[in-house]
Amino acid sequence: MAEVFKALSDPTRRRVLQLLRERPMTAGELAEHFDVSRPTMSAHFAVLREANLIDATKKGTTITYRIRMSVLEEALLGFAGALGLDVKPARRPAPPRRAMTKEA
Amino acid sequence: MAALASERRLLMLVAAAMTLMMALATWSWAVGMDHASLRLLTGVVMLALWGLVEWRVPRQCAVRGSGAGVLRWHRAVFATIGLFIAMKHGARLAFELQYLDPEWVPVARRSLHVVAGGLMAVWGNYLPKLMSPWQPEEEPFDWQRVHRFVGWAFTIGGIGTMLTWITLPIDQADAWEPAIVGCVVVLSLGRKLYSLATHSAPRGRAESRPL
Repeated sequence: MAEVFKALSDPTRRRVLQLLRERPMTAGELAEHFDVSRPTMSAHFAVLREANLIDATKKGTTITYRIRMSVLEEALLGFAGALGLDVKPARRPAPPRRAMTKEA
Repeated sequence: MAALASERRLLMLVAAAMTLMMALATWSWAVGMDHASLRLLTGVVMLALWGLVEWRVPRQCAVRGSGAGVLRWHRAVFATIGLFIAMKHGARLAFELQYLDPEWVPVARRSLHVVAGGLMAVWGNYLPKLMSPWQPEEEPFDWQRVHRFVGWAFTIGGIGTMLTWITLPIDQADAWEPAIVGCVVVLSLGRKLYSLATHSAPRGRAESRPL
């Protein structure tokens, strides 16, 4: 279940799932909807597959993705979208200020 | 090997449930209980439907490896329905033969139906997880959307059945349950027929490079 929560915590992955709810799509069709690099999309697909939320079928060089969500997972997707539960990366601590040195 | 053993166990469970159901229906007919012929007829219909599933599903699902999941889901459903009907027959027989204290009858009935509603919700929840045995462009109907709809219908219907049997008086729950289950079945069949009538395989998909 931790994988499911991790997968649903990202807005891009939630959007992928919403698109796949309409119909099965190829990786290229899905990538057209996002302004991110192919390796990043590929990583998102890997997370969704690991959580068993999508299924991939390879035919030649084309990968077609299909949704594979239980009713509970779909309800969680709805809640996560409605509540905007985005996991933001932890903020990096601000770099320490340089001590002002007085020049004599 | 372990998967094969698990398949065999599930098949044995369905066979045991069906045998128990038919044996208890025959017993109730032998002791001359009311509606015994209806119980026998229900058993025969269940056996025929199970036979149809065992015959059709493996042939339909031979295209992809996901067919095993579809057959497993159907077998789990038939095993639980068979056991549920057998338990109902058993409770009724126990009451008729004066093995069951009449005081416990409402508790037994409520418990049985709450469990049945819970199982219905669990099947419904799992149903959209099953994958289509066809390639996306070869599907005769929009498998995923239909199964998602049916999954939601079963889950809501199951939860509704549970709540009905937990909260309402028994005579009212008795009247509401067939209405809920009937709605779920009619909606599910209607959605599938609609998809069969209107679905056309998607064409002209953009080709994509593997990511």
